[in-house]
Parts: sequence; structure tokens; C-alpha cells
Amino acid sequence: MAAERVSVEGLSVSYLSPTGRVDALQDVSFKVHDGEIVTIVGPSGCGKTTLLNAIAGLLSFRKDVLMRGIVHVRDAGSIGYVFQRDALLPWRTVAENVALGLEVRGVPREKRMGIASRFLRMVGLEGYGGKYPHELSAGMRQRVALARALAYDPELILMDEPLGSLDAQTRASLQDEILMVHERTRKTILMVTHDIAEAIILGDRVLVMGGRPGRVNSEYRVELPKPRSSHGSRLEPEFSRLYRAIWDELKEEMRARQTVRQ
Amino acid sequence: MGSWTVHARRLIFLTALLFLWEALAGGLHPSLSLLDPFYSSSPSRIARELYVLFFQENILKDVLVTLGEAFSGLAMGIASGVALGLLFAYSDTVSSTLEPFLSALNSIPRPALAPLVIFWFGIGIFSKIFLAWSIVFFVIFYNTYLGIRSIDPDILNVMRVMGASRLQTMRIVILPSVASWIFAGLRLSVSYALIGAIIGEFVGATAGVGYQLIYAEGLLMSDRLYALVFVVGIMGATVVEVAKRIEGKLLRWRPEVTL
Ligand SMILES: Nc1ncnc2c1ncn2[C@@H]1O[C@H](COP(=O)(O)OP(=O)(O)O)[C@@H](O)[C@H]1O
Ligand SMILES: [Mg+2]
Repeated sequence: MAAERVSVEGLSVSYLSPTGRVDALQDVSFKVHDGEIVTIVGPSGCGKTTLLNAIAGLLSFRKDVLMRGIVHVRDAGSIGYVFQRDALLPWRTVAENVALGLEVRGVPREKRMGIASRFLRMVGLEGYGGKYPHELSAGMRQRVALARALAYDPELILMDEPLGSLDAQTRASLQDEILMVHERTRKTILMVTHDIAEAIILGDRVLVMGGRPGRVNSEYRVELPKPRSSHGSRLEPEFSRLYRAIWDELKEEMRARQTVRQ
Repeated sequence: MGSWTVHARRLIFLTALLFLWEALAGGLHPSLSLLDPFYSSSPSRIARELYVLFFQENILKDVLVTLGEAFSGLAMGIASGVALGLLFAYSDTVSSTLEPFLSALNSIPRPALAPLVIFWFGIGIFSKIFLAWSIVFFVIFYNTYLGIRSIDPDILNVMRVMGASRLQTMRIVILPSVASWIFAGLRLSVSYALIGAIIGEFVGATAGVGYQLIYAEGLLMSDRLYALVFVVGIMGATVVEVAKRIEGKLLRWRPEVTL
């Protein structure tokens, strides 16, 4: 078995605000191994974003966040993060955006622009390097964000509902893109999605979260054959079986949540 | 919009208006005269006065004085406004302490300040620069402060995850974002700077278009007042147009800048 890339043990996170304290995660434990794609599904508000931020190291410096437990990332300085909204710098060209991580690492301009154009080609945006983000469609911008997260060669890529705001067609093609990128680079990917089908198609494992504060309720190993594809993998019997199982579990979770509210 | 027929219609409208004005002031035929030209002046009188202003009185010198005051105030307003805006954005202690005082100061109508400012700085150019500065400073300060606070937090998170230093985040994210807010407010700022300078010249000066206006009013030179208003209007339109061009050049990355 490959080495551990991420290891989370007994992680609890609370937000402190003037109006009180919100417990976002309670006693979460799991591991991600090198080269794996692990996907996370769960109802909104169960702490998925909080979990990714904790792994990315974005919570440890905040005064309004209380963290307990262990979050360990091997080579923690080598993380890429793709957000739901592309978070591109609007005043920079597409190529300059992709080269951002390299710029931060002090790679000279000529070299980093060369690397950026290679990654733009990888995500199917050859020739768009000189455009500004607002000149691109939402799907293209998300491809740029993906290229940016890959370009400085981080070992771990975190994705927070990266395809959540795209239409079905674009989303399917970006799912194929992610599978292709993973096939080529073997990066470790931890991805949150609200789309069960997407979680199964992309994931080697699917973690199902639930509750408030959030927990990891269960884990499904996905035995779909590789290489996978957005349309092809849906036809496998294994896909339907997993879809139903995860769907039933989430439905149960939603019902429980509704009774709590009443 | 902007087609030839539109331009033609506008030209016809303007010509008709000028003719009507000229006629009513008695410039075409005495029997048509309904207005007293002492109050209404007339296009031909204004044209004659403009000739006098430019070729005998050297009004260009006053135009340059006013523009110089306005631009000095503008430059100082931008520099100090950005500095305080950054300080506010970075220090909650500073912003929460000083916020009410700045609001209070900014709520003073600047003309009310003008006599005091003349009292402090005298009737030279410094009082006008100060008045121009006193308006621009607040516009730029608020734009900078709001600009920084409205930066997408995910962009800051991206920088953090990439391991950017504070200095890199400042150079790559904060300053460009502040610059874009300043340039988006540039048109407003240059008009404000001009207003500040002219108000100062009204209250006490020895040169500048505001001074010339007060001077002409004192001598009841109504044609000259009209001509000067025309000059000031052209000045305002020109600087705003220049600011617009600069904006368009520097904010090319924006979807559309409308104000
Ligand atoms: N900055 C914050 N301050 C206070 N509460 C927060 C903050 N961020 C998230 N929360 C709360 O923490 C819980 C988990 O949020 P989040 O991690 O965004 O969930 P998800 O991504 O699964 O929708 C929610 O109840 C949310 O309201
Ligand atoms: Mg979320």
C-alpha cells in the first residue's frame, strides 16, 4: 500500500463568534494515501469546507477557530487548492494566473510562463494564456483554476466543489479532465462534491459525512474499472449499486436532520 | 447611438438653441429683443469675450494655476488616502478608534472650511491645494479601505496555500486591487479636486479661474462671467475625459467600467 499523504485523527473544529460557538467538526478520522482520489459527500453545513481548510492549514492561524486533534500532511508546503468559485486574480492574464504558484516560489518569469502554457494545454486551453479571466466562460475559468493548482507541482490537490456551479455538459467534460490529469500526474486528490455520481466516478474511495457537528459516517471503496470516464463509468452495475447505497444513507441523514429541527 | 444622424440632430439642436439665444438677446434684429443682454449675454458677446480672455488677458495662465492646484491636491490626496486606507485595513485597533472622527470630518461641507483654510495657509496656492486634498483624500481613503476589504477571501487563501509571504500578497493581490479601486474612482476624484481648488480661489486668491470669476462679478462684467463659466466647463470636461482614458487603459482586465 502507498504511503500516507494525509492523516486526520480525532479532529474537532469549532468557530467562535460574538453570537456564540458553532461546532463544525467532531472527532473526524481518516487517511488519504499517495496517488489516491478520495471524494467526500455530505449535506451542506456538515463541515466539508472546514475539513479541507483544516488540511490546507488555513485554520491554524485564525483566532476565532478552536481546533483539537491531529491533522498531518506529509510535505504540508506542497498543496494545491481549487475552490468552488475560481478565485482567479481578475487583473492578471490567464497565463499569469496559472503561473502564480511558481511566481511565489521565485521561478523566473520566462520559465514559469513556459510551464504555465504547458499546463494550459493539458486542460485544453491552449492559446488562451493572454486573455483575462472575465473573457472566459465559467467552465474555462475553472479549468484555469485547476491548471493553477497543478502548475507548481504540489503533491496534494484539495478541491471544494470545484464543478458545483457548472452546467451538466461542462461538468462531465471537466470530470474527464480531472481523471486524465490524475492518470498522467498521479497526484493525490481530496475532493468535496455534492454530486453523488461525481463522487463515485472520480473517487477510489467515497467518504460520506453527516451530522452537526460533522462526522465521517462511512466509507465506500469504489471498484469501478480504470480508466474511467464520466459517461462510461455510469453504465457499470457497480456504479448503480454504490449510488443507491450512498443515496439511501444521505436520505436517512437528511430525514434525521429534519426531525431534529422539528 | 453615436451614428451620423444622431450627431446631425444634436448639431441642429445646438445651432437652433444658439440662434434663439442670439435672437432673443437682440443680436439678429432689435425688434426680436426680449431679453436684457446685460443679464442674458449672447453667443456673439461671449465669443468676443473669449477672444479677449485668451488673446489679451492670458486666461490660459489662470487655467494652468487652477489645474496645478487641483493636480497637486489630487496627487497628495491619493498618496495619503492609500496610506491611511492600508493602515485601516491592516489594523482593527486603528480603524475602530479613528473611524468616527474621519466620518465626522468628512461630513463637513468643504466650502465651510475654505475661510479657515485661507486663514491658515494664506491666499497663495497652498490653501487651494489643501482644499482639493481635503476632498480627494476621503474619496481615496474609503475606496482603498473598501477595496481591500472586498478582496475575495478565497484569493487570499490561494496565496496562503501557495506559501506566499506577506510582502508577496501585498504586491500581487492587495496593491493591484487597491489600484483598480483608485482608478475606478479617478474621474470622480479629478472633478472633486477641481471643485476644491475653485472654492479656495473664490474665498481668497490672486490668480486662477475661480479668482477671475469673482473679479468679473465684482466689476459686473456679465459677458466675461459667461465666458469664464464656458472655460471652466471645458476644463472639467477635458480632465474627466483624460481620466476616463487612463481608466480604460489601466482597467482593461475589467468586464466593463460604467459610472
Ligand atoms: N467563519 C465561520 N464562523 C462561524 N461559523 C462558521 C464559519 N464557517 C463555517 N461555519 C459553520 O460551520 C459549519 C460547517 O460549515 P462548512 O464547513 O462550510 O460546511 P459545508 O462546506 O459542508 O457546507 C456550518 O454550520 C457553518 O455555518
Ligand atoms: Mg462548503
